[in-house]
Amino acid sequence: MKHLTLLGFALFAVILVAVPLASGNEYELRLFMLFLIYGIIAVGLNVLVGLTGLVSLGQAGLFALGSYTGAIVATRLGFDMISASLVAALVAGVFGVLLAYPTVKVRGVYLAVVTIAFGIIVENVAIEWQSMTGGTTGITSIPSPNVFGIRLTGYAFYGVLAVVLFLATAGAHNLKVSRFGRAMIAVSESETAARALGIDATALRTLAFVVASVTAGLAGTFYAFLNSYISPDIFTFSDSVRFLLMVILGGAASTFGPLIGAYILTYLPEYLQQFAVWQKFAYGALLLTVMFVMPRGIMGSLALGLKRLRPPARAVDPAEGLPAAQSLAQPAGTQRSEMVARDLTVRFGGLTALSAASLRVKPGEVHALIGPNGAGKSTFVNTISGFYQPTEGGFELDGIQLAGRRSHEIARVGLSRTFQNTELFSGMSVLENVMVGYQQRLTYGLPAALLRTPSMRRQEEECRRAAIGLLAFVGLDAYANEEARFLPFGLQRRLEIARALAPRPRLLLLDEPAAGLTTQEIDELEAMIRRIAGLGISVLLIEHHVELIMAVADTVTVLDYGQVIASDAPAVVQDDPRVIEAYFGTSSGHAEASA
Amino acid sequence: MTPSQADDILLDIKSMELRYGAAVAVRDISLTVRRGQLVAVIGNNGAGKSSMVKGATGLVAPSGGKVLFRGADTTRMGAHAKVARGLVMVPEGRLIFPDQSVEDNLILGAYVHGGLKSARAKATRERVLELFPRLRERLGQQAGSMSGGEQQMLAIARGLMAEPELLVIDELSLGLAPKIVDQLMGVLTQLNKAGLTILLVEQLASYALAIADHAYVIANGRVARSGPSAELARDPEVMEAFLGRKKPAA
Repeated sequence: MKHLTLLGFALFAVILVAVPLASGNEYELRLFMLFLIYGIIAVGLNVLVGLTGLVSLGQAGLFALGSYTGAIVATRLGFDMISASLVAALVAGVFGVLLAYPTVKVRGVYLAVVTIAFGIIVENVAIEWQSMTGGTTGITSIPSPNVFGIRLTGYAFYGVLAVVLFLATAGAHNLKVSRFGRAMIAVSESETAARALGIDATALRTLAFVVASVTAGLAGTFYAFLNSYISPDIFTFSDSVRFLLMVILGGAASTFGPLIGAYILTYLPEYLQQFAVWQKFAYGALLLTVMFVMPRGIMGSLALGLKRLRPPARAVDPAEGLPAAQSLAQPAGTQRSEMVARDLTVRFGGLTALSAASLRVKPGEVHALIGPNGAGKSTFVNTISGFYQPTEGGFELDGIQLAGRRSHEIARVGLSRTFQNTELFSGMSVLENVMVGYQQRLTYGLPAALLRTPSMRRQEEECRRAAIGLLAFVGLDAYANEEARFLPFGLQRRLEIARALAPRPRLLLLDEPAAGLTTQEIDELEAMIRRIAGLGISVLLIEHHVELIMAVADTVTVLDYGQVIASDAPAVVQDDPRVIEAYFGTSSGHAEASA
Repeated sequence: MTPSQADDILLDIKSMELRYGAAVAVRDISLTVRRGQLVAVIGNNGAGKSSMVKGATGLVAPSGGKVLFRGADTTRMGAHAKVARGLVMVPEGRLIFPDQSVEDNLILGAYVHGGLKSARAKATRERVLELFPRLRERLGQQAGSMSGGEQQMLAIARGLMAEPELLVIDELSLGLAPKIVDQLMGVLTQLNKAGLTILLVEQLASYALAIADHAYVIANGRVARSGPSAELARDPEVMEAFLGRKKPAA
């Protein structure tokens, strides 16, 4: 895949050089330059659509915003093309933040609706603000493209566009394979799990939207210079739809898909002109056919076909991995961690799910939390991991007060968790799931990601090796390159444990890790929990399997009706009549073993 | 086999194979469930149990073999059509509709019979609520706000609303306290005695073998053992792998 990508970039560079040499007339070159401009928009939009899974139907609005901003500063203030495009990119980026930040928290179609509204507003402002935009006649006197006062020839302008598109494509590709891209995909697969790993979902979605805005703004200015005339009717809703189609038709999330989509949707309308009145019909029919035959877009379906033809090796070589004992070793001088919850009360409306529950996980111990279904265990877990807010009471990890903090902040302090109903990034590979868990330990910034600096690559390699080591630790190295959703349920739970260990937590919270496991597999789990505790990580275990609890727990706390009814050594708790009554029922834990 | 015995077979899986792309989940499984039986399926994670259930109930199309239900070939039939014929599933992880009320979940269970309109559907609802009095107390409550045990009760109740001939249950005990598992196993025994045929896929082999007539052990996508549950429960290899007891010293 890596070689194919490099080959793709080489081919792309050759095409960019060859086209102007081969083009017979100015019209042909102009059309190709239009494709380059659309390509810049599509490549940026792909970061939003392909990686975060959000949809924008307002790219024409941002494109218009960039176009007008660039045209206005060029005509009125005499900016050259480069500085005008930078101003336009900045303005579009600011609008991107303003639009995205409040909306990306509410997901799904809301962002699409907001962007549609934005597109309409921009179009309207362009018509009505006559003193600035020239109204319906638009801006006509845009100077020819120039840089530092030097007028660009047609070929030089082409060169600028080609270089920008090439860099944008390379940058978007680098972003995709960096910690930022991985986290964006993770957020779109499972926001809950991403937050529990310390990923700020809102910030990442905003970043993706800003990338899409900045590229649209940049492309807008280039368009104004190419056309030397802009008017409101160039930027309509149907253009927004066309930009989105470029990404989806070409293959969302693929590196070259948006380019292919942009190429087809730039040239197709031109070729279809020969069909006269049937032009629109043919356009629609062609799109339908392509999407029926290739539902994942052109590049997406090609990649899938290639994968079927030559499936990647399922396993990785565990020798490549960094042993878990090494990657999980706490920095020298750190104490084993203690988690204390004091009088936690959680109410949902009139229902009290947790009533003044106190619990202390002593440094380095395995602490089990048990209780009947509905006793408040899940509420407790979701509260201390920041998914619910306590009504009263507080909790802290090594003296750091955590009540009131959001889930990704709590994760960054050092609490890591698994989920009762497994929350994997199902479309990502098993290895990538663990690499997302390592996210907090990667320190390189956005510029390093875009440029793939040596330090970025070194950190990525460390991340990969640590992830392989953790897969070996939980016995999943043979599945490393498999998509996570194809793992059987029991193995999905093991993958969650590996992923939760990757950030090197101080406290690991295991939410029913033995559910759905056979006796033999529970024995393996028991050994795994012992090894984790042996690494100095405190463990809070929520479980129903009595034998497992008796075997691994140092302390058992029992919840019933939201209250702690017992907290002691396992043997003591097992014989407590209140616990037998509330939890074990008639066939107590002893009976289960011999049933 | 006499003809009358053959008529008794409700579900007949013949050499099923099931693939996800290149990965083979079920290699070759043959399994029969007779009318009135309670059949248990046990096996490790990744053995192919859930995939077999998905293939049998029509959620995923098997890539080979046949699935006969009440004598008719249903291999290519979708899940909704099978439900209408009486093959109903209680899925792994319950999958109730969390934002809807308990009552609405039950009505959706009776979807293939037109909801709660007929007198017969209303009578079924009464019987189901008698079986699970807890659900009657919570009819108006949002289903997702109930405890895990109550949700599993609802998942079974919803399945029963479709008036199944065969109820397939995938992982009854998942995430449930011992007391609730006992209670639900009791309900299954009660339903089976009242004439309902049940296929139970379960990790807690000790519970499953205790209530089933007949059992299958699945390993690597094939049937590794099958027979009366009492016999399997005495099988040394089954004991070691699934019941947490060491092989008796030879």
